[in-house]
Amino acid sequence: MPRALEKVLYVDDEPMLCRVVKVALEKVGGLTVETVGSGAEALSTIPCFHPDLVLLDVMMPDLDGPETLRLIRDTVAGHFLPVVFITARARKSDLEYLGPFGPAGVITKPFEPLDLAKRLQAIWAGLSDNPAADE
Amino acid sequence: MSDLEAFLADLRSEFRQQMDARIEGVEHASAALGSGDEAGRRQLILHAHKLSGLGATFGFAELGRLADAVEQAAEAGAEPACLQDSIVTLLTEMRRVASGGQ
Repeated sequence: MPRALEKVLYVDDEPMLCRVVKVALEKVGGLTVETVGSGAEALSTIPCFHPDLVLLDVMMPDLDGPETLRLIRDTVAGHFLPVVFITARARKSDLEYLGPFGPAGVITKPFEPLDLAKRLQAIWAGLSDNPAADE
Repeated sequence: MSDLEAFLADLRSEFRQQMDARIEGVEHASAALGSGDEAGRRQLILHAHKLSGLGATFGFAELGRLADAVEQAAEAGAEPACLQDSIVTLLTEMRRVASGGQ
């Protein structure tokens, strides 16, 4: 049986959105959330924090979301880790571009903070075949 | 008002207070692009992208829409002179929000 979603790592270079997401997921969803401001920080945090899922902004300076996901997949801790993209770009071509990187899901901005935990839980529930979601 | 709603209202207020710094960022990127520095285009896209997401999340729909328009035009490679009108419109809206407009 899949275990419950408990720990989320949120990656975004915008500090205000980090604060919104952390509070929304912790207060509404009862999750434990760590936030970092870059793909490089995500790579160093994953082996220590051991998130169940990474919520990853697509457009960031330096390492963007897709490149960060590619590097996460190259690590032992991140090889099977579910990663959900979050992006303000919701055009069909944008979503088609993200698909081949293998995200567990895509959440588009703007998002309703009160609904964010529910949306992540729905994605998590759909991962029952994912080794990272089973224990 | 719930704790979360109160927190979001505080952040919305903080977003307004930080607007001057964001205006400066857009102006700086726009000036760089106007002088032929293509790195300014990347900076403009990043500034507009953040404003688009934050504006919409905090309920400033017009700000979000104008920022999205600048982001898309800049990313499509529009000439600096062609971007100027939409950048000026965005900056006007940013100043309006900074001064307390809804």
